[in-house]
Amino acid sequence: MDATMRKTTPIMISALLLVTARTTLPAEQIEYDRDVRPVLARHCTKCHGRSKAEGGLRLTDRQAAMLRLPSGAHAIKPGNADGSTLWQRITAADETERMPPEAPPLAAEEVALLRRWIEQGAKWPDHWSFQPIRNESLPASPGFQGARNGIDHFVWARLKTAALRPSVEATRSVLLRRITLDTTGLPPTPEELEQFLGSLNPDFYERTADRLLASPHYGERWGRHWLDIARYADSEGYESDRPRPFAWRWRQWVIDTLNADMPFDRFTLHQIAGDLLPNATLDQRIATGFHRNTLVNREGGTNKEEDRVKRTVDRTNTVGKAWLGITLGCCQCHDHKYDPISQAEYYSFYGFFNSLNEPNLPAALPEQVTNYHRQVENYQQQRAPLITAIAQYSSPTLTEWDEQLRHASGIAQWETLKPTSARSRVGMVLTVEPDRSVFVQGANDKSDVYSIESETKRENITSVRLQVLADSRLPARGPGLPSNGNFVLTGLRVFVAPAKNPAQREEIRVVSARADFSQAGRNIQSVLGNNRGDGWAVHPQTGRGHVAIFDLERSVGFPSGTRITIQMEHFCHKDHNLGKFRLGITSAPAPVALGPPDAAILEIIEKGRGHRTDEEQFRLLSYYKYADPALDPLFKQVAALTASKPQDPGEETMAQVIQEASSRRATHILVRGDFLNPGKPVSLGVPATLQTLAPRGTHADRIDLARWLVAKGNPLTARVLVNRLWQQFFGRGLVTTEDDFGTQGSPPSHPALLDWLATRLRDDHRWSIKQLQKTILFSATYRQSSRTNPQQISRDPENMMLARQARLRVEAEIVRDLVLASSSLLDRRIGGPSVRPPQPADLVKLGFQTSLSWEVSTGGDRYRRGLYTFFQRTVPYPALIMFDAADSNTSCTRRERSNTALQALTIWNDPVFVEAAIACGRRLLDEISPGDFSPAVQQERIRHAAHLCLARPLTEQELTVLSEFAVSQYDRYRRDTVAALKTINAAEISHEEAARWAAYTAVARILMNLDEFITRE
Amino acid sequence: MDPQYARLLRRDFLTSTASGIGALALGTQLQNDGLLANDAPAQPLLAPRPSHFPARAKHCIFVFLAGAPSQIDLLDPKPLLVKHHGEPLPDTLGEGARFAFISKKTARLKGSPRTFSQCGESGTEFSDLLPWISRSADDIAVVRSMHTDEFNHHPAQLMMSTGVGRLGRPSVGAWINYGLGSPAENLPGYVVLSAGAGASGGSSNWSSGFLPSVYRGTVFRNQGEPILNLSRPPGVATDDQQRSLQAITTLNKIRLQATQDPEIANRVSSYELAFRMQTAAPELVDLSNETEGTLRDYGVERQEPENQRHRGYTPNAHAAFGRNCLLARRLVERGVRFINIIHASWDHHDALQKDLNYNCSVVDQPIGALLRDLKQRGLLDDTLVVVTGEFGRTPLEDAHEGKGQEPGRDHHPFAFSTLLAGGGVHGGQVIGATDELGWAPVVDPVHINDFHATLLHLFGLNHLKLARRFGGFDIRLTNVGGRVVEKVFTG
Repeated sequence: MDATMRKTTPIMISALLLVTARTTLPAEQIEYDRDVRPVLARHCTKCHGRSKAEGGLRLTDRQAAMLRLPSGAHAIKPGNADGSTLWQRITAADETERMPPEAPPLAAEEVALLRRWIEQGAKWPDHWSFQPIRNESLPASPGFQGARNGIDHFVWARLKTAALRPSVEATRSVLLRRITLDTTGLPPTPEELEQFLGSLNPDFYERTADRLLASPHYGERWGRHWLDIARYADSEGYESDRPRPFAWRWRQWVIDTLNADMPFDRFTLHQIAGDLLPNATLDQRIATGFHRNTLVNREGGTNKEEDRVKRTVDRTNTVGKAWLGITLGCCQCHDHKYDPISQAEYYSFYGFFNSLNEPNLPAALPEQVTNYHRQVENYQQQRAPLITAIAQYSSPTLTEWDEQLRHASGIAQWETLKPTSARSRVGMVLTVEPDRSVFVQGANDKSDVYSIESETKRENITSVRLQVLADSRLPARGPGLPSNGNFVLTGLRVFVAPAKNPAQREEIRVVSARADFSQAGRNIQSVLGNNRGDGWAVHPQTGRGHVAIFDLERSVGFPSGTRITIQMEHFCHKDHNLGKFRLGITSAPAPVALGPPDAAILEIIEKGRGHRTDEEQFRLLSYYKYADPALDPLFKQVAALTASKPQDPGEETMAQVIQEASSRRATHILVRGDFLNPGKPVSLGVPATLQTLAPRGTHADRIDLARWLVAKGNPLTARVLVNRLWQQFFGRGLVTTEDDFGTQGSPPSHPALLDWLATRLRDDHRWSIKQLQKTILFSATYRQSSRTNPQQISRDPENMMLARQARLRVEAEIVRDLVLASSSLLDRRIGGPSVRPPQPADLVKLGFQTSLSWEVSTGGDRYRRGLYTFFQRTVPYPALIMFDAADSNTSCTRRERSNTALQALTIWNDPVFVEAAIACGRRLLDEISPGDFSPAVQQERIRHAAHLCLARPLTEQELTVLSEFAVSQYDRYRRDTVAALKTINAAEISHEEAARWAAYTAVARILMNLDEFITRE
Repeated sequence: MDPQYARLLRRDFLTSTASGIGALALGTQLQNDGLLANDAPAQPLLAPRPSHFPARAKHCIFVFLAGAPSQIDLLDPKPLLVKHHGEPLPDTLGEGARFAFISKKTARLKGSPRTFSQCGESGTEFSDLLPWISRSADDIAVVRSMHTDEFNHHPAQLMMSTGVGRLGRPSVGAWINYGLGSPAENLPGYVVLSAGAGASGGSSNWSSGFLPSVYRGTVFRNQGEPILNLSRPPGVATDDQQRSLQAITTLNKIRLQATQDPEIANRVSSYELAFRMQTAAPELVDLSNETEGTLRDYGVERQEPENQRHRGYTPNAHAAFGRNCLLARRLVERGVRFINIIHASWDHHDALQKDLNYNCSVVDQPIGALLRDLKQRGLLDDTLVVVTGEFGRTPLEDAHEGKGQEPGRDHHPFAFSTLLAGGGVHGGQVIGATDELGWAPVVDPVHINDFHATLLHLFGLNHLKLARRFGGFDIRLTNVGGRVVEKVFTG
């Protein structure tokens, strides 16, 4: 069946030989983009461009170019070449007059072209990609027989003008492997091959495409492409290159979302602004993790603001590249030299990302949550009766204890201060929350002093209480602001004044202090004296609240009310400032006992027995580790149960997200891109060349930006997206500079097709990526053979005209997937945290100070798909990087496809690949008539090997080569059992069995090392 | 296996031949089709290409002392600094300066306790910590006026390796191979040898960035097989590998004929090179044919001093670095274009003299031996040797850590020193000068972009022309700067 479809068409090829290719039409009408712009860019715009305007001339757009020059003349007078200074100067006989200066004159054709252009009226339309997307209609005739959809009409019309012909359809087996790899990144199974080859159904191909697009592996294959664009990695980059244990959670979102075919406009909205959506769901917030894939530098001495600016710049540039396909990067320092984007416009765009916080959210997967709820319910059912029994228990001993506790002299009556003002010396934002605590936000890169003012009617104030508080909004839950949650309080000073006369302020010395916990070497006592070099800290007990009490040298307070100001000093490190705290005062005689650090316990005590819930009573008793001895057995039971308390999956499964800071940072132009040199302020916006952005409210926000990106009038996003999708199916986009749709990029090879596809995607398919992909997959253009010939190569070496499909080496991750799938080692589970397949230990040690570690995954995790391999930015997994995986440092929109000896060594000898060959060899013995070694069965096994690895029937010639090889290896291994056993890494099997297995292992190894194996044809 | 079946299979037309191409007349046929030229290079992207203008250097051994060695204690003597040792930082110098750990208010000048002496006929001054290197003083140009834009290790290492302090750009070795290809027939064009603790930048220091991965540095390992996956799998003998290669080649060529895709011919070449590398690389690292004297000169068998806990310490740093220098010479002999020798770490914030002593004892002797050995063999003429860090160290004391240790020096991007020798470099000269306190260059400042422009120039490459379009820009090693320092080769 297959052979009958592989008809070569000698007639067609010879026909080609007779026709001369003409790839450009005669230029009757000069077109600015195609004809004029390259000439101006070559000779003129270096001095008469966006950044320089020698003699006042700027050849950037029509309006600027037609202006009257300071000299009074016009460089270009439409319709009048002789009257145009431009033409006079480029043709001047006098060398000192002639343009360009100190360079050879323009070629005669170029001069003629410019003349003709001016004579024709100097038409100068906007750059093609900034013009609206046109709803193109199909060319009248497809040109050739067998068109399957609109794509073929456009492509074939173009082929016809170039006197080329489309290729025949690829063989069925090539087609199946192509479409399976393109949609899922996995090879077809032998069963799928058999069905496909044998199907008599006329729409067998379309059905297969539908099945594959619905495969859960689709999201893995296409998700990887989006991960490239998003510069995804599992570590932070730079020197310390710390792991990002939660990065995968966003990857999971990408896979799930693409599988569900979320329309690209929503896909955009959620990633750009998910956090701002009303009642944002967890998934919408996880989506914003796109922006958390930036590198972070944690090297000692790094300026945090500089690094933040770098991240913001990276976010701006990445959005520019991923959605708009334009290079914004150069506008960081100056106006764009070629595209109509100014530096001010750049920073307007940058402003959208200039006020972001970067929290990690609990983000358990739905199945984890369901599981957890079930476990919690079960746990509660067992626990509730025990708690009730403890809470309801009553005895004289307990009653007496409770009374003592309530009236214990050690527990003072505290008044929580309500701050009337809370200020930071260096401009951090201190917010007083409803519970009177103070929450701190801001850059946190300088030593700080907080001043908290309150008023009280209390007299005889003896002590101040500082509660430092945990909060999930803080790094490591606080109570400090640095990434580890710690802080160092180097001083605490108390000032009092009569409320009515604040000027009469005096400082009251703090004479003694206590805390519930102090870090070793950072004792609470060191706060006394306000020494800048030392202070109170709580590592490793971060992430929870602590309490400290400061006794005053004398009791204070004015009868008419007191204004009390407490200054909290943090001088020890630049960033070890407190993130959340609460202040209180008491009149209890000093020294005041510490009391419970937990304000909640205080409240429970004060409620009194009769007013506590069961749970509160239980907490109180547990807190003091006190109980009537009669309660001991019950407490033991609770303790035993608590040990098996279900773990909240949100603690382990977090997501890196972004969130708009509560106060928006003002955005300025950064002069020459220098973060220390802010220029004039700018408001948020988009480049004026593109369609305008209409904000919903008074100020534009990221929701407006996201909607603008996918708005009907945006000429870029849809084109850029369909172009990249096209590129993934043909190896090259219709615009070959897929990351530059600006004036320096290459124009589309098929402009009408590009717009037709963009319109289909945006309007007909309502941004459904799968629908658009289906259109491509169904076209005859996609289904063509990739076979070429020297003539075709010489005529259209880049295959710009698409007279054939392309042979493409698969991506690095898929090389791994192919090897594991063919050998049946592949663990096909989808999603989850990244894994660490084996690699030599010394390679990881090439990272900084040998500080990185690589604990090899076990079980199925050794054999997961390539995209799940932990990506350590400074020492990426060698087998991935060897095959041109994205380095994840900047947005990657197209992979290189190199072909090297080290790749050969990898497939040939890498232990993972060798192990796969052994497994495949075993598979051949087990799956085809086990124990039967008749010639026919032997041949059948080799055919089966080819089905597994290449997904096609072998030719007789190939079968002979492989059989010959199998025979020689079998003979050799039968003579050398030791070598055979080593080859298959086995022991204790018969010599005969070992020789056969080793021989088939060698056969599998040959197939896996073929160019075709790692190529999608 | 059934013997009759075996006979059946061994049909005449497929008898293997020693050439490995198989009896198919395929090769000839393909050559006639112009698809597999007889002289097709093993790695088309590495095929030697002419330079823009005649080259002085053909190979480069780039010794990267990552972490930044103290130029004040090694190459840039500052008597005035010694005189004012312990005094506060003059206000004029502190302006605009940033430090990682030093506070400007408490900063004190720190003179070097080292003795410097004039060496060779040229009289270039070297510290007593470099007794071996200084013997080649007349072949060395010391650039004392180097400066960089980057202040932290990783960005600065990237700047030194790739011309820009950001990730994602190709390294010097990648660019030179991209521009010139490599004459090495059986080895990669760009080899990385690492000893000591790892550098901050890890493999980003030898990245090919957006260039094809064939230009990426290949790491030769200090343990196990010299190149990752070089060894045949267990149980697979050379003969087996040879037979595999034959079968792979034959089948690839059948496919080549069916598809006419020239990329398959490249794949065939890649496998042939891989096979040759399996012989060439073990031969390269086999030092048995080197003389006792050579091994001793390079310090290949030096024992590690005991109880050493220095920055840069590894249990075999001395021996591994010596071996790497010797391997570098052997790689040059075999045509390899660019060799990176990396040693880390020189980040001496404290225990300066103790740790400098240790690190110099690791690197000085082998680098000295390498310079003399290259010269003796006539290889120094076209082999450029570079020894450099990513930035310099402050003429100020850094006492922020290492309580009880001698204070060290902080990061100093404004001035540092680099050694150049061979490959057309005019030896026996000092280029540039810093002010009397060693703060900043006052004569002939050399920015890293200038340094790279000069390096490419020695290879006959115009740094403005060696560019590749990426992300809408023509990217080059020298980013948006670069000026050739002619003094380097004119003297």
